[in-house]
Amino acid sequence: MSNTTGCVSVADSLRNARVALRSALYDAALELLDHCEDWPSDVVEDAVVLKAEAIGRRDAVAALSYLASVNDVPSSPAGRFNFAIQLGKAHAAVRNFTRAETRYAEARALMGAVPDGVHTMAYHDLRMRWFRRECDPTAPEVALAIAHPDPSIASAAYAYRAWLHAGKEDYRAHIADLRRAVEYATMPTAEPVDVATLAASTHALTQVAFETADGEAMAAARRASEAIAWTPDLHVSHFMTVRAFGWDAFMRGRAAEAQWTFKDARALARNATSRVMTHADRAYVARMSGNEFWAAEELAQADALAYEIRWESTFGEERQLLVMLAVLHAATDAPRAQRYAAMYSQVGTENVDPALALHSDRRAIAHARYAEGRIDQTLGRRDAAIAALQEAYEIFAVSSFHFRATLTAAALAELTGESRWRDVGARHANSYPDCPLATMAQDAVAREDAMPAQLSPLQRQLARAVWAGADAPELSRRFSRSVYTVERQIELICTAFGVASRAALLQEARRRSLA
Amino acid sequence: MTAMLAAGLVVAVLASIVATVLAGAALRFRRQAAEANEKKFNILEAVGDGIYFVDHDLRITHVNGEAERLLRRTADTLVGQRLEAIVDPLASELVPEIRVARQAGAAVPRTQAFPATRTWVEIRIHAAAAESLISLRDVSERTRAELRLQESEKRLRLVTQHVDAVLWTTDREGRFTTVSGGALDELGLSADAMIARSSEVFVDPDVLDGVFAGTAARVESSRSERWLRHHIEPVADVDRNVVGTVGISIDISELKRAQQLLFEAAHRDRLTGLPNRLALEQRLSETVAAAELGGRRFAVLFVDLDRFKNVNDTLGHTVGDEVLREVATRLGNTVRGIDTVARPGGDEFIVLLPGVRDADEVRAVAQRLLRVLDEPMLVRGREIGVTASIGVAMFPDDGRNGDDVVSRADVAMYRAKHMGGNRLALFDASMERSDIDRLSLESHLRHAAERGELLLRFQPIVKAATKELVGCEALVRWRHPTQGIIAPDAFIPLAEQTGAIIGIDRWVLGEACAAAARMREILPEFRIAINLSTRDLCESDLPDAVAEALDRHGIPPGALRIEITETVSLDDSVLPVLRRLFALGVEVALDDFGIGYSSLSYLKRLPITALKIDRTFVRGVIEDRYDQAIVGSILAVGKALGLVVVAEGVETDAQFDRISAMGCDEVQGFVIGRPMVLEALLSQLERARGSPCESSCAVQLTAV
Repeated sequence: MSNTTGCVSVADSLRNARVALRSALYDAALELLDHCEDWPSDVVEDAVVLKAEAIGRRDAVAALSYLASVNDVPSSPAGRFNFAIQLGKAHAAVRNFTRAETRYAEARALMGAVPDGVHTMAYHDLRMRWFRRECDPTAPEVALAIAHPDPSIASAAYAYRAWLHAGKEDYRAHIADLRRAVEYATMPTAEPVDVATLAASTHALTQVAFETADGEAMAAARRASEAIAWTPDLHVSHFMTVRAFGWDAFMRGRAAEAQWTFKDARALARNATSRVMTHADRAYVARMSGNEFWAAEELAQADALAYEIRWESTFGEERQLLVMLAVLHAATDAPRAQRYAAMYSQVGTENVDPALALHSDRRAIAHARYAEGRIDQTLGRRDAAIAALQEAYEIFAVSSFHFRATLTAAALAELTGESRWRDVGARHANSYPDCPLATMAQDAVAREDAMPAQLSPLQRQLARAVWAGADAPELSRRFSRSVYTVERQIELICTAFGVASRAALLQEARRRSLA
Repeated sequence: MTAMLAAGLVVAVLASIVATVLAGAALRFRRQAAEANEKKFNILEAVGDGIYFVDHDLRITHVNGEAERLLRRTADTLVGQRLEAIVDPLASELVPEIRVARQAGAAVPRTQAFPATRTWVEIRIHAAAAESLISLRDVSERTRAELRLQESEKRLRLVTQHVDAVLWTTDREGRFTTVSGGALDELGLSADAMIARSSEVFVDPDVLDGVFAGTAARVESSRSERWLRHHIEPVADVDRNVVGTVGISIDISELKRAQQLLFEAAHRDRLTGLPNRLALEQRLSETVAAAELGGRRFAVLFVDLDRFKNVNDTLGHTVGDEVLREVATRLGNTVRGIDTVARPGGDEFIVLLPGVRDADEVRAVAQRLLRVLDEPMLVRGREIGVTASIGVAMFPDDGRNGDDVVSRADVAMYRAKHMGGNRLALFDASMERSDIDRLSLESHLRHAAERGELLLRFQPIVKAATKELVGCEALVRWRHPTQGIIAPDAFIPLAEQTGAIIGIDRWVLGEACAAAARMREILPEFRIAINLSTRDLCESDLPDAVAEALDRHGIPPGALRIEITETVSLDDSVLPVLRRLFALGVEVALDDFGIGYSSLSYLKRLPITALKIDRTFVRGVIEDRYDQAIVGSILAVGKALGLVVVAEGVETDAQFDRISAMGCDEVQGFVIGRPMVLEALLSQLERARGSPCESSCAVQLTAV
C-alpha cells in the first residue's frame, strides 16, 4: 500500500519537479527531488539528471560534485545520454571545455536512442559554439537546435543564435533572434516554457532595444515581461528588465513614468548595489528633467546607501554604479566624484574580466571603455579619457547604441571642446525625439555656439556654474581649484564676454540665452 | 398660413424670451460660481498647507502659495500642466497614488522625506472623479523636533546606562525615587533595592538638608574602597517649593588612585621608595620648625657612596640600581623610627636625625651607618663592596636654616671623601674657606695661561750608566697672583675637571718645544719630556698641534717625549691619537708605571717607547724587597719589550747606584737635580758640554 502510494507520489514528484524547475522555483524542485537517488529504477535516472540541473541553475560547481557523487550511474542508453549531456553542461558552465566535449562526444554516440536526441545534441553544440566564440550562426546544428520540438530549447537556441549574430556584428539579426526567443513567452505551447531562459532573453532584449531606440523590440520585451511569472530566483533579470523599462520611458519623454518604474525596480532589488542604482537612475532623470533639487535628494540617498556596498571584489554592476555616481557628482561635488572614481580601479575585476573575455560581443568592450573613459575624465586624466571614449564611441556608433553614443559624444565634446562631437551626439540623441537628452543636446549646441570661442572647456563649465549662482568658494570646492584660480578664471571669462563684472556677465549670458 | 406664421412668431418670441431668461440665469449662476471659487481660493491661501487641484485628466487647475513654495515653481508654470509633466516627488510621483485613490476612495496620508535638505512633507490625497485635491503639509519643523527629541532621549539613555556614575533623585524625605547609571554594578548596588530607601548610603543627611534649603552641594564620599563625588541640586515645583533633589554620583576612584600615584611620584624616589628632594625639603622645614620650637638640635648626615660611578660603569646601571636599593634598605634599617632617610638624587642620601643631644651621639650613628654599608653586598650573585663618605652638620650649630645645614653637611662630606672615603667628617668653619678657595681657583685657572701666570720648570734626566745629561722633564707651575706658586697636584686635577687642562697642555707643548730648541743648541741630542693629560689624547687635533710645534721650533720628533698617565680612561678611544703621535716619531712614555690600572695589558696595546717607574717603588728599592722585585720585573718587562725605562724620584746616591745596577736606562730625581728654571738648566748644559760627559767618554774611549 505504502509502496504503491510511494510509487505514485514519486512519479508525481518528478513531474512536479520538472514544472517547478521550468518555473524557476528551484527550492521547490529540490524539495520534491529530495532523496531521489533512492527512487525506483524507472524514475531515478530522470530524477537525478533533473536534480543536477536544478542545482546547476544556481551553482555549476555544486552540480558537478553532485553528479560525481551519484553512485548508480544510469545504464539505459537514454539515461546515459541525459547523464552525459548534464555532465557536459556542468563542465561547460565552469569553462572546462575539454571535459565538456568528451561528455558531449559520449552523448553524441547515444543520441539515436533518445527521441529528439539529434536536436538536443545540436542545441548543446550551439552552446559550445557560443562559449568558444565560434560565431557561425549559419552552421547546420544551429538550425537543428532551433527546430527542437521542446519550445524551451527552441527559445534558448534563438537566444544563443542572437549572440552568435552579435559576434558577427549583425545587430539587426541579433535583435530579431532575441525577439523570436521572447515570443515563446506569449505563445501557446504544449508544456510550460522555461522561465529562466525567457527571463534572460527578455533582459537582453530590453537592454539592446533601449540602447538602439527600437520601440517595437521594446514593446515585444514588455509583452514577454508581462507574460513571465517572475520568481525570486530571477530577481537579477527582473530588476534589470524593469530598470530598462524605466530608461525606455525616460527616452520616450515620459520622465514621470521612468521615475515610478525605477521605484518599482527598487522594490525588486535584493542588494545595496541595486538599490543605489535606482537612486542614481532617479537622480539622473530628475536632473535631466530640470529638477536639480530632486536629483540632489536622490544622490544623497544613493551616497548614504553606498556605504553598505562592499566594493572590493564585485561584479560589473558595482563598477557601472561607480561610473554613474562619479558622473552624477562631477557637476556638483567634484571631490566626492573623484572619490568614487578612485574606487573604480580598486574594485576587483576577477569577476568582470573572464566574463568580458568570454564575450564575443564588442559592445561589452565598448561599455568597459566608456566606463574607464568617464573615470579617467573625473580624475582629470584627459588624454586617457579621450582615447578610451573614442574607442567606445566607434563601437557604439557601429552597433547603433544611440544612448551610449550620445553620452560618449557629450563627454568627448566636454573633454575636447570640438564641435563635431556635439553634432555627432545631437544626431544620436535625435533617435529619441521626445527625450530631454535630444533637446538638451540641441540646446547645448546652441549654447556652445553662443559662448566666446576662446573659452576652454573648464572656463565654459565655470561660466555655467557662475550664472547658476555659485560663488567663488563653492566653485573652488566643486572644481578642486583654489579660490584664487577660480577668481582669475572668472575674470578671464568676463573679458571673453566683453564685460567688466560678474553682474554684467550674468546679464550678458541672459542676453545670449545662455542663462 | 397667417396663423401658422403668427404661431411661429409667438414661438420665436417665446423662445427668445426663454433664451434671454436662461442666459441671465446662466450668467448669474456663473457669477455666483466665480464668487464661490474666489471665496474657496481665499480660504486656500489662508490655510497653512500647500494645496493644488487636478481635474479628471490630472491637469493642475489651481495651486496655492504654499504649494508653489513646496514645488519650487510658480502657479503660472503649473496651472494647466498635466501632473506627469511636473517631474517632482510632490507632483509626478503622486500620479499612481491619485489613480489608485480615485478607484479606492480615500488614500492613506504619508510623509515624504527629503533627507538631504532635512525636509518632510505630509501628503494627503482627496481623490474624486472630477477633481482631486492634494494637500501638502511641511512638517519639517515638527519632524526635526521629534528627531531631536528622539536623539536626545537616545543620548540620555546611552549616558544614563553607560556613564560611570549613578543618576538619582530623591523625594523631600531624602528617599531615592529614581536610580540609574552604569556605575551601579561596579559599586555593587542595585537600583531596585535602593528605590524608596534612604539616600544615606550616598550622602550624609546633613548635606541633603542643605540642598533642601536651596543650595546645590558638591561632596565626596567613599564606599568600600570606592570614591564617589556627588553633585546634588534641589528640585523645585512651580511654586518654587523644594520637593526633592536630583543628584549625580560619579565614581572617582580612578581619579583618587591617580592622585595618590601622582603624590607618590612627586614625593617619593621611584627607585628606592625613599622620600625625594621635594619631600625632604618639606620634612626639613618641619624639623627646623619643631627644633626651634623645642629649642633642640637636629643633625643632617650627607651620605655619598664612594666611587659609585665605577659600579655603574663597569657593572651596568641595573646592578647600580640594586646597590642603591640595598643601601636605602640598610640605611633605613639602621636609623630610628623618627629619623628620615631621603634620596635627593644620584648616589646621595640624606639622613635627618631630629632631637639629637650632641656631636658624639651623631658621630655614633654615622659610624654605625658606615659599618652597615661596609658589609659586602650580594647583588645578582656578585659580591660588591660599597663604602660611603658621610658629612655631618648640626642645627642650629652649623646653620640657621635647613638648606644651610644640608649644604654644610655636603661640604663636610667632600672633606671625608678627600680624606680617602669610607669615613665621616663633621663640619667646621675652615672647610668652608677651602671650598671658597676652590671656587676662586677655578675661575682664575681658566685665564692663567693667557695672563702669563703659568711657568715651566725643568728637571734634568741622565743616562744611568754614564750620568750623562740626555734630557729633561718640563713641569708646569702656576704663579697665582695672590697665593704664589701653586704645585701641579693642587691645580691639575681641577683643570682636568673643568677642561682648562687642554689650554694649559697646549701652552706647555709650545713653551717646551721653544725651550728644547734652545737646549739643543747646546746639546744637539737633548730631549725634552712633557706631560699630557688623558683628556688631551681624546682631542683628535693633538697630533697636528704637536707636529706644528715641532716644526715651528725646528726640532725633530725624536727630541720630544710625551708622558701619559695610566688611568681608567686610558682606553681604546685614545688609541687613534696615540698611534698618530707614534707614527709622527714622537717618543711616548707611560708615566707612574705600576701604580695605576691593569698595567701590563697597556704595554701590549699602546704604542709606547718608554716606561717611567713610579717614585713609590724607587723609594723602597734599597730596603723593601717587594719594591726591589717590582722594579726588577718592570725593568725585565721593559727590556724584553725594547722600551726605555726611566726611574723617577731617585733621591739618594744609594738609590741611583742600585737602580743603575739593576739596568735602568735613565734616571730622574733630586739626586740629579731639582726642577729648575730654563736659564739654570741651560748653564748646566753649557757646563756639561765640556766636562763630565767628555771626560767619561774619554775614559771609556781610552778603555776601549
